[in-house]
Amino acid sequence: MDPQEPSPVEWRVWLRSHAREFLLFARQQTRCGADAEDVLQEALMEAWNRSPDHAPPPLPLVYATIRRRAIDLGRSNDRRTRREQSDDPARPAWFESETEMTGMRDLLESGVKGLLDNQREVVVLKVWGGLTFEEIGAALEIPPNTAASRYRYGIEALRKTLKPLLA
Amino acid sequence: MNDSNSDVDAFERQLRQFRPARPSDELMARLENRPTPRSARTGIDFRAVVRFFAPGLGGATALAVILACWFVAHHGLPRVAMTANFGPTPFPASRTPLVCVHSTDAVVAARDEGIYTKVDGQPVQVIRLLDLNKSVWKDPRNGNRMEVVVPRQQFLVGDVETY
Repeated sequence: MDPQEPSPVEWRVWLRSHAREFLLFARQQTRCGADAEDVLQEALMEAWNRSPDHAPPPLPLVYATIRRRAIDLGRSNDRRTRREQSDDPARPAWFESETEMTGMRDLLESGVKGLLDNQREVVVLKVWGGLTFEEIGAALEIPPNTAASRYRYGIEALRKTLKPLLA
Repeated sequence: MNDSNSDVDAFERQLRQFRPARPSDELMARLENRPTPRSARTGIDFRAVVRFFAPGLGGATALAVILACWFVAHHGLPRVAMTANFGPTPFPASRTPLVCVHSTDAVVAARDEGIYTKVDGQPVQVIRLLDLNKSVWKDPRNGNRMEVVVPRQQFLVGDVETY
C-alpha cells in the first residue's frame, strides 16, 4: 500500500465520525450548499495531505482549512455567490430533527444564523464540534480567552432566542 | 456562578440534542473516494483549460474558450444553450469495494466549431471540448489497482455579442 495513502477503512471511519460537524461548519462559513460541499471536499484533502505521517488530521487543522478555503472562495466568487444565495431553492437544513421538532429545529437554525459571525463559528465548534477553547483558538487563530468570551456572548444570545421553546 | 455554569451546561445539552444534518449520500461518496476537486456547479476545471490553451492553440480560439468558461463559471448556465456529455457515467465507486486513490481531469483537445445562428437570429459560437477523466481504483482486499479512463465531449455554446 502506498504509504502516502490512508487506509480506506481508517479514512472512512474518521470521516463518518466527523462529517456532520465538518459540513455544519462549512455551511455556516459559505453562502450556499454547493459552495459548502466543494469547500469541505477540498479542505479535507488538503488537511489530510498536510497532516504528519498522513494520519487522520487534527480537528482544529480541518476546521482552520475549511475556514480559510471558504474565505478564499468568498473573495473569488463574491458576486456570483451573492446572487445564488438569493435564489438557491433547496438550501439544506443545518440540523436534523424528529418531525415534531421541525419548528424548533428551524428556530435553532435561525438563531445560530442570527449570531455574529465571530460568535457563531465559536458556538458551532464548541457545541457541535466538541473542541476545547484551546483547539478553537488554534482553528480560528485567536487566543483561547477570546474564544471563550465570544462563546459566552454567543450562547447567551442564542439562549434568549430559544428561551420560549426551551423553557 | 455555579448556577450560571450549570445553566450553560444544561443549555448546551439541549442544543446537542439537535445533530448537524447528515451529508447527502452523493457528498459522502465524493468525500470517501477523494476525487479531484471539481465544481459540481459548472463541471469545468477552469485551471485545466488555461493550462491546456496557454501554450497550444491560437490566440483567438484560446481567448474565446477561456472567455466562454469564465462566462459559465461566473454567470451560470442560463445563457449557455447546451452542454452535452457523451461516454459512460462515472464509476459507481460508492457501491463497490474499490477505492479511488487518484483522479485527474484534463482538457486534451478543443476545436472552434464556428459561429452559428439560432432560430431567433442570435449568433452563437460553438466550442467542442474533449476531456479525459482518469482515475485509479484500488481493491483494499488485495491491493490490485485498476485505471479507468473516461473521455467526455462537451459543447460550449455561448452568445456572441453583436454591435
